[in-house]
Amino acid sequence: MKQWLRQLAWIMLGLAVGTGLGLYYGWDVAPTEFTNATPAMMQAEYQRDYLLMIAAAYDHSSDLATAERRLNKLGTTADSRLFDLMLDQILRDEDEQRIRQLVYLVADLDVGYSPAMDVYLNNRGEP
Amino acid sequence: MGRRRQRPAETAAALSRLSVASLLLLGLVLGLAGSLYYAWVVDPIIFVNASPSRLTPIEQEEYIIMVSQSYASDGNWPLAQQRLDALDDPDLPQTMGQLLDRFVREGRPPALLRDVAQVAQQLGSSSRAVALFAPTPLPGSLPTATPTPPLVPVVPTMTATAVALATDTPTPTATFSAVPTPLPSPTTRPNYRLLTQQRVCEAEPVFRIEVLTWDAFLEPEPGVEVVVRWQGGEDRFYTGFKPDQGADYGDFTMEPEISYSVQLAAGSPEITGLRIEPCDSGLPGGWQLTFQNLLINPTPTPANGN
Repeated sequence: MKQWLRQLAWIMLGLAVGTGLGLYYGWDVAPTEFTNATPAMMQAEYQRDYLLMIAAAYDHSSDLATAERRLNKLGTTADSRLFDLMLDQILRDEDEQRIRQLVYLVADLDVGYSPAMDVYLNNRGEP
Repeated sequence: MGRRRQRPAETAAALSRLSVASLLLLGLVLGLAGSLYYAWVVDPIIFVNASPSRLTPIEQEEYIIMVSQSYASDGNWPLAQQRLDALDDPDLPQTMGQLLDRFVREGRPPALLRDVAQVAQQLGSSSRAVALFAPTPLPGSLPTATPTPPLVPVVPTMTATAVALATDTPTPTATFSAVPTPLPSPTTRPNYRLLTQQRVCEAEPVFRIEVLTWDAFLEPEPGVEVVVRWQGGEDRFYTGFKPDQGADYGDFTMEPEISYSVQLAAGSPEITGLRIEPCDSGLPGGWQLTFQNLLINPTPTPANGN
């Protein structure tokens, strides 16, 4: 019985050391390389900026199909995030041009509606 | 008797030592293999917080396009610069220049070329494509005056060669003067250059020579007279008389076994050797030629009917 316990202890010790070394090597020394990220894998802040760029690019090019394709790259929740970002920009009274770009994109993509958009949509086309 | 008692004890001790080492090794190997499987397969590190520099090359291109379009929209250069910095590309001006060259060759929309060229120019890229497409040249960014090289090959191959068309005027304000350098003979001085020449292959036989005419800023330019010649014959038509095809469009129907040449009456290289040729599908195919006006403010060509 004593011999059996000793043997088990050695195995457990080896297992613990091996596991520790393996995790250190697998997660720290040579982690899975991931260089081919998609926009959906970017940091939240970069994704937010990506949304702003989609809106600005749409404002410049009027290419709704491209805007929609770009938006879809951010994943299934991109629509709601775009809408939330627009509302956030409106409520924080951010740069008006930026807000307009977001509002127009939200409206044209039919992503959602808020009465807060009306003031921008009613003046659409005016400088 | 003593020997008989000692042998089992030594054997047991040896077995015990061997057993400890092998057990430790066994545990180590199992632990290592299991944890690596876990770390690389079951629960690998996933970069959910990636930066644009981690995007695929295609997504990075898309990102650059978006930065360019955003900059064209809001004119906020510090913001554009900050966004481009996120790409972590130490040689971004060169990258932008190469990207623009490729976009030109791929026949991307003129508006897109202008947007990318504008950003490339701001970054200090000074390729010919930048000089050609950037809307507001920076002082000193344009190529110096050089004799105009042969604008295009006149064999029917796909080309999209960016050619310098502008010269730096020696005025302090560095205004954009894009008058082409005179060629030795006035009769060969082109007002237009061939921008692209490509096959037209469709699901049905095509016998057309399509001619597109753009102005210096790559916007459609209608009313340009096109001269088509073949052995023993000549015909003329104007672009812009088929509005459904675009204000810059005009075409001519070829006959089989005849070689045609196309030239713009206002002055362009003569594109020869155009004939009906089979496409990859085996069906007859035509040609599409795109000409760009080299004059920034050209005198409108009278569209006097066709």
